[in-house]
Amino acid sequence: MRLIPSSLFGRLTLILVAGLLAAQVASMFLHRGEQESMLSHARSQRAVERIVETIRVLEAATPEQRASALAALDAEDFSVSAVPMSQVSTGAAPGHLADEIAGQLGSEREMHLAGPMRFGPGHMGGPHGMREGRPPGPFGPGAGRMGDGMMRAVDIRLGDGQWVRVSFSPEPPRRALPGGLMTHLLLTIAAVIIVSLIAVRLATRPLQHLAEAADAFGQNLESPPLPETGPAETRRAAKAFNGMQERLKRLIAERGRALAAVSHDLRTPLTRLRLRAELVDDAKLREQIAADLDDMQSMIDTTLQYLRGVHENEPRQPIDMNALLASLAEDVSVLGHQVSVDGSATAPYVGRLSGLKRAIGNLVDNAVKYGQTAAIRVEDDAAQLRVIVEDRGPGIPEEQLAQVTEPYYRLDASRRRDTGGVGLGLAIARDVALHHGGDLVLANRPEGGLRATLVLPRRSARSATGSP
Amino acid sequence: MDNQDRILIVDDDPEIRRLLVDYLERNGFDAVAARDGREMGHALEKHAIDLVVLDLMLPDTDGLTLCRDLRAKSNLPVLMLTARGEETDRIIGIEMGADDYLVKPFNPRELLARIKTILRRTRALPPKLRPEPQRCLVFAGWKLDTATRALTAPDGVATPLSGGEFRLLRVMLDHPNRVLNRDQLMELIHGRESEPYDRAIDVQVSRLRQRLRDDSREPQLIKTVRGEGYVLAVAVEGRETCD
Repeated sequence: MRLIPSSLFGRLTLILVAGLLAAQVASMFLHRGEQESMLSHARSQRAVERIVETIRVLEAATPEQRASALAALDAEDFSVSAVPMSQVSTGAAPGHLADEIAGQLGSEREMHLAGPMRFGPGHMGGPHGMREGRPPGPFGPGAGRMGDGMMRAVDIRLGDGQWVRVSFSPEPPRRALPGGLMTHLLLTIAAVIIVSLIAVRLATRPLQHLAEAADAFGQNLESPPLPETGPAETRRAAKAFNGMQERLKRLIAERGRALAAVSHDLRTPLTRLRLRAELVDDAKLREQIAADLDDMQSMIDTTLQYLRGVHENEPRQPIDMNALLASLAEDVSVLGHQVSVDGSATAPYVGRLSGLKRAIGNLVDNAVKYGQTAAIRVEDDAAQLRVIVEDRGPGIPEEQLAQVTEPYYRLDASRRRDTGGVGLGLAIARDVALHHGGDLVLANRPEGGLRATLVLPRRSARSATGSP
Repeated sequence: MDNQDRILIVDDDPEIRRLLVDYLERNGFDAVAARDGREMGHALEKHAIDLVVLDLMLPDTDGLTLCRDLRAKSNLPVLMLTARGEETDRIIGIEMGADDYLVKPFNPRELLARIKTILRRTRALPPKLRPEPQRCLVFAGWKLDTATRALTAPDGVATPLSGGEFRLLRVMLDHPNRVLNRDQLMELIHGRESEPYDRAIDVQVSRLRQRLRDDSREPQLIKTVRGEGYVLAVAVEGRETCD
C-alpha cells in the first residue's frame, strides 16, 4: 500500500487536511488546558474555604460533638479525621496553603503536609471510632504529582491542641472527551476535508488542462492554444505553454522549410545532370548514371514526403480498398514485378487516401525490392482491416525488427545492396498506421521472407460515409 | 523537315535551356528557348510553335499566369515543369490549363514521351473539339478529379486508379459517345499501335469496368461495340471543382 498518493491532487488534499487537523487538535488541547487550570484554581480556592470552614466548625464544637461533626463534614472528595498525636505527619508546613488559611481565619495554625495519598473509601475505623488517616502509602512513581484519585492531606492542629487530618482532592478526576466535543471535532474534520477537496480541485484543474493540451499538441500540431485565464500562476503557465507550442511549431516548420529548400535547390542541378547524362554515348554508363540519379531523386522525394506526412491533415473518406490494392499492384507489375492480391475488403474503409496509398505502396515496394515478389492478402472483419504484404526475401534479423520502422534506420550493407532509398519507407508506413489508430507489425515468415501487416481498425461509427 | 514539331522551352536556367534544346533536337524536334515571359512572347510571334514546355518559376511573370494568358489566346498545348512536387502546384497547373505536368528533375525520356502524347492527343481531335481542360469530370454520378487523379463513386467512396486505368478513363471521358477502336486507344494511352492479338486494351477495359462497378456482361458505362471497339455511353460534364 502506498502511503503517499501519486497525484498532486491527493498530496495537496492530504497536506491540507493533515495541517488543518493538527491545528484543530492543538487548539483544542490548548483550550482544554486553559480551562483546566482555571478549574483547578477555582477548586483550590474552594479547598481553602472548606478547610477554613472545617477548622471553624471543629473549633466551635465541644469534644463530644466532634465525632458527629467529623462525620458530617466528611464528603466524597473531602475527608476529615482526628489524628492522635503520635501519628501526626512530620512533613513540611504547606506554606502557601497555610498562609491563605491563616489569612481567612485571622490567626495561624500549625500544619504539616501529610503527602499525597490514595483516595478512596475504606479508611474507616480507629481506636476512638473516629476516622483515622492512614499513613501515607508507599510513594510510587509519580507520587509527587497530584494524579488521578490522589488526595492531598494536611495535618492541622486545632486551637485546643487536637490534630485533624484533612484530605482533599486538589484536581477534579480527569474526564474523557465529552461527547459534545467529539461531535464538534468530527464536524470540523468533515468540513476541513470538503473544503480541502474543493480548494485543491480548483487549484489543480489548470494543471489538468495543461496536461490535456500537451497531449493534444502531441497528436496534432495545429491544436488550439490554451485559454490564458484563471489565477496569475495558471495564466503564466498557460502563456508559457502557448509560447512553447508556438516556438515548436515554428521550429518544425523551419526545419521542414530548410529541408524542402535544400531538396528543391537540388532539383535544378539534378535536372541538368539528367540531361547531360543523355549526352553520354556509352549506353551502359548512361544507364548507370540514370540509375544513380533515380536513387538521388527518390531520396529527395521520400524525405519531402516524410516531412509533409508528419503534419498533413488529410480528411478521412470512405475508400474502396480493393480498388486501391488492385491499382497499386498493377502499377508495380507494369514495372515488371510479380504482385498478387488475395482476399478482399467487405466494405469501404474510412481513412486517409494518399496516406494509405503511400503506406501500402511502400510495403509493396519493399517486398519487390528485397523479396522479388509481393503477395498482398486482405483480412477484413467488423473490428479491423488487415493488409498483409509478404515477400520471399531474406527477412529481417529478429533483433532489428523493432528498429527498422524508425526513420532513417537501415539494415547493414549486406542486405541493402544497390536498392537505394533512405530508410523512410517503413517509418512512413508505420506513421500512417498510427495515424489511423492502427499499427504496422513486422514478422519473419517461418518459410522465409518478411510479413508486414498493416492493421487498420475500423471505426464503429461509419458516420463519415458519403462526405469527406 | 516541315513536319518537325517545334517546341518552345521557357526556363530561367540557361544550362537547362541549352541542354533541353540540344536534347529535343537530337530526338527529332525543332526547339527554341526563352528565358522569361517577355522572350516567350517574342518567340511565339516569330515562330510557329506546336507545344510550350513552361517552367512554373520564372523571374518576371510566373508560369501559371503565362499559362493562363496563353490558354486565353490559343489552343497551344502546354507542358508545365516545376521544381516543387507539391500536389497543390499540380492542381493549380492543371486548373490554369496545362495539358500535363512534370516535376524536376524529370527523366528526359519521360519528357519526350509526354510531349509526344500531348501532341498526339491534340492531333487526334480537331482543335475545336478539343475539350477545355476541366478540373472535374462528372459522369453517371462518378467524379474524376483530373488534377489529383481521384475518382469518387456516386456513394462518395474514393476509388483509386492505377496509372493505366486513369489514362484509359481519361481518354474515354475526353471522347464520350465516340467509338474508339483498340488501335486508337492504344495510341492515345501508350503512344504505340496495338499489335495483332494484343489483348492489353481489353484487359484494361475490363479492369476499369470493375472499378466503375460496371457489370461486364451488361455494361452500362463502357459498352463494347462488336468488331469496332469501346464507347463511353454516358454524358460527361466538366466542372470547376469536384467538391
